[in-house]
Amino acid sequence: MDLVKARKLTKSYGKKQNVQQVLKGIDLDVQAGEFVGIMGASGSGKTTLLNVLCSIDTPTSGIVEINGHALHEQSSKKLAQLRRTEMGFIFQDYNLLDTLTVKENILLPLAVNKIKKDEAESRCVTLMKQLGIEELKNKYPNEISGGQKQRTAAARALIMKPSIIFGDEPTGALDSKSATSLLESLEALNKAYRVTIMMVTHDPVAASYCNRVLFLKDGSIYTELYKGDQTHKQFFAQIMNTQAVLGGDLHEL
Amino acid sequence: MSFNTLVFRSMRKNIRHYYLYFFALIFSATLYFSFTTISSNDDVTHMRNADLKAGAAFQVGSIILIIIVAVFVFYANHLFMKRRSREIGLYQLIGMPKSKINSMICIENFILFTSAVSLGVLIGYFFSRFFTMAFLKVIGSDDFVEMYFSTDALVQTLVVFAIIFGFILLQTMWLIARSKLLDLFQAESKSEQQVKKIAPYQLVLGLLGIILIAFGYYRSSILFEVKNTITLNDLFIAMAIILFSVIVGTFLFFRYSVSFLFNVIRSSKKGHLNITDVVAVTPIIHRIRSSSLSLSLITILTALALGILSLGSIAYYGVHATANQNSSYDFVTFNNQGSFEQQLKKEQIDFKKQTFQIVSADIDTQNLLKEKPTDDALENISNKTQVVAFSDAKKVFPSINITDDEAYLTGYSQMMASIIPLESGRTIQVLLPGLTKNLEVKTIEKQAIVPSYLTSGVPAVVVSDALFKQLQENKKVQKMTAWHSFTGYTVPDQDIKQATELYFKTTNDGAFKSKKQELHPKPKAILIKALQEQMGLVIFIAGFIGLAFLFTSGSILYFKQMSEADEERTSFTTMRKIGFSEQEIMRGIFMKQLFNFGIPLVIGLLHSYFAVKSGWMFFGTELYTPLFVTMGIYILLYSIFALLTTQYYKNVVRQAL
Repeated sequence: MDLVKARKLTKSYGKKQNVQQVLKGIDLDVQAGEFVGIMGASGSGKTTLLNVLCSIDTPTSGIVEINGHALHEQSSKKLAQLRRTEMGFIFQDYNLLDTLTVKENILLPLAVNKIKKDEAESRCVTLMKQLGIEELKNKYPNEISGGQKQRTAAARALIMKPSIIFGDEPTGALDSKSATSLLESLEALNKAYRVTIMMVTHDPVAASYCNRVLFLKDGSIYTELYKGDQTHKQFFAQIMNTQAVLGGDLHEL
Repeated sequence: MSFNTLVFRSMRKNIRHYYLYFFALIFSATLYFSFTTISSNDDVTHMRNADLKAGAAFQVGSIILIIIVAVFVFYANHLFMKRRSREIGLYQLIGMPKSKINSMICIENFILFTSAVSLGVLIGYFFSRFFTMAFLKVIGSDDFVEMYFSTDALVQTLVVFAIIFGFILLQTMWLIARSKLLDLFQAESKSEQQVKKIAPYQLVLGLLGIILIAFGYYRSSILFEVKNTITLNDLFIAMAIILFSVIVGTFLFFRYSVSFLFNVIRSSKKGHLNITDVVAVTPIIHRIRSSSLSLSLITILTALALGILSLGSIAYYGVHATANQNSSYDFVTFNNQGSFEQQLKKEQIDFKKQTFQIVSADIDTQNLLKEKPTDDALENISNKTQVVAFSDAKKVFPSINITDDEAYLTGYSQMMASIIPLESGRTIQVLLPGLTKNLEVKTIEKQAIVPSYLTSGVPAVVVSDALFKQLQENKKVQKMTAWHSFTGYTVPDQDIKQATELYFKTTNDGAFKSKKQELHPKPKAILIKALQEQMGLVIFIAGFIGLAFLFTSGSILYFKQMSEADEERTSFTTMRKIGFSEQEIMRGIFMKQLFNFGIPLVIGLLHSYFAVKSGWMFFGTELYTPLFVTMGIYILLYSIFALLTTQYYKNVVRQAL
């Protein structure tokens, strides 16, 4: 079943004389349980694509459906509800609330959702255990490391049992060790719960954890790679090759 | 880009931050200029009533205004500089010397001040006529006021604002000189600190705060009771203690009681917060250290403003009642002196009159005191009391009935009830050579029979006709009694003016002489007019100052909330992204504003209620109507600021995504 379905997505910025088209008609389908990476050079439109898919931004034209809900038909209130119930988010700069403890941050999405306290509690404890942040539950974000913050954000993204998780450079601000362990956790969650994950990254290592990687160039999908039965290493090499052909990003590594 | 361009660019970019500061400056200048314009108006200061020191009152008012304006501008500048710390840090980072930054801020402030003061003067010029009309209206004058421009007022305003400007520059330079580059980038989050555990000392200090406030309230409620206060010095000490305990208590309340309470609520949720907790409770705990001071300041300002305004309105509201308490008749003559009545008849003015026989006698009323006073206080109590016969008293109190062993007390004023509470049903003693008698006091009436310029506020005693006759024949009483009768006249409203002229003509300009004393009873219309002018002046100046207080406290809150909203913008972005709708976040914001505006208001209202309650009887005769009307108007004006703040938050939340 198609969890994410996008048809003829375009997005342009600017006024009449100075229009800049960032997305130029993108068609995309993501199946339930997939782990999809979006790569591309700076300015290729990958973050814009993600924002449009997850309803944070609206497309200039085209349609997006998430789990059967056509986003353009929803009111902003309904969209907020969809984001809360169907989607989870992990951002590059963590986006935790400084005034809340780790546990409070994880339980934040439940502030407006009616979920039984016992159930929420057990879900929260399981997630904290899985992500190895149980010890930190009463600490504030400014007392923990970047990797721990991102795990907290991941736990928050998963607490509502969303059908899809969107990540915008989730490993972007992490050192390689924290990044690897976060990616392993995400991979494990993807396999264990069949959670669909879609993330933007410019790091080929991060991308090599995905089942499928989309390459964007100048607002269109240039190509896509499937991991299939390859190992991380093989897939990583394939990604590097594609990137070399695509030009651009290599010097950033 | 030249230096000047940079100044203008940065001003234009910061306009959103500037505009309230700017508006506050304009408002201050307007208020001050109109105030000085009015006080320099001859129509206003030279009112016919000579004993009214309008000029002096205006001077005191203007000094208080300057203080408020100065404190407010300082606070605003401080907050404003804090908000711009990042910008200033950036200038320093790119190598701009501090002297250059100073002169930049100096130019900015100069532009702000000159334009604000010119605008303020302009608006003040148009408003001063309106204010003067309002002033003459409240003092009951029908004079018409021309538009006029007062150079004195202009000079005074310019001088005052130039001095404030000088201090603002010093403050700014000091802030910049003291700053380190690193601090500048962190300034916005500097005051934040985490409240980790609920320490026992917090609970103790929180409780102490509440106890101090309660103590202040209790002490104020018994401030003027005779047994507690003997000398004026004691009174001042007591007032200082009350002020101290309430102010310190308020601060401790905000700093510890509130954070303790909120922490308890928070930890009871064990991490499962609802939207109000997330948007309102946790940021409040987070910032309580820095905000407790401003919240206490606002509470105190609110209490002060309300206290001043309420007392002013109580005084103004009570003018007629006070005049009636003095004497319920339009005109009074004593010992049948003068030919007022004949003249009234001659001019065919319709009138009603009541004549009363009175005597002065020694009557010991100490027994009536609810609480035994100290010996010191007793020495000051005189036994000399005015006595009225029962048959005369019936003219005023038709329903009373009396036996030889009973007495009534009349003219027991509100002020007296608060300071020296009396109780009926006890006995008083007539103490005269050859005449000692115990009388049981049946009732103590508030309404007076004998005008207060005869009794000097001591209740008059009504006795049976037989006893009154005995008193009249007593030698000592005859010696003591300066006035043996008075006559009260009531005249239709339209004839008051003519009757007043007659009254002065026939009574030697309103003077009555007996063997020992001279009386100058004012006709009621003149008394009311004088009181109205006096109280009008009080309420007008109180209104001005109250308005300044209101505006100051409202703006401080608005400023603070504005910077908080900007700091929380990223949180709102996160919340919007993960699926909180605008409405849901706003629900929390409402609760937050309810706290930020509501708690200082409620506590300020309570403070002022107790303050007013302790001393209102010196100002008027009616407490609740003027008090509640004043409070109502204040709350209404105050909530405008809450609304503005919420609106600002709404924009921030809307634009967060």
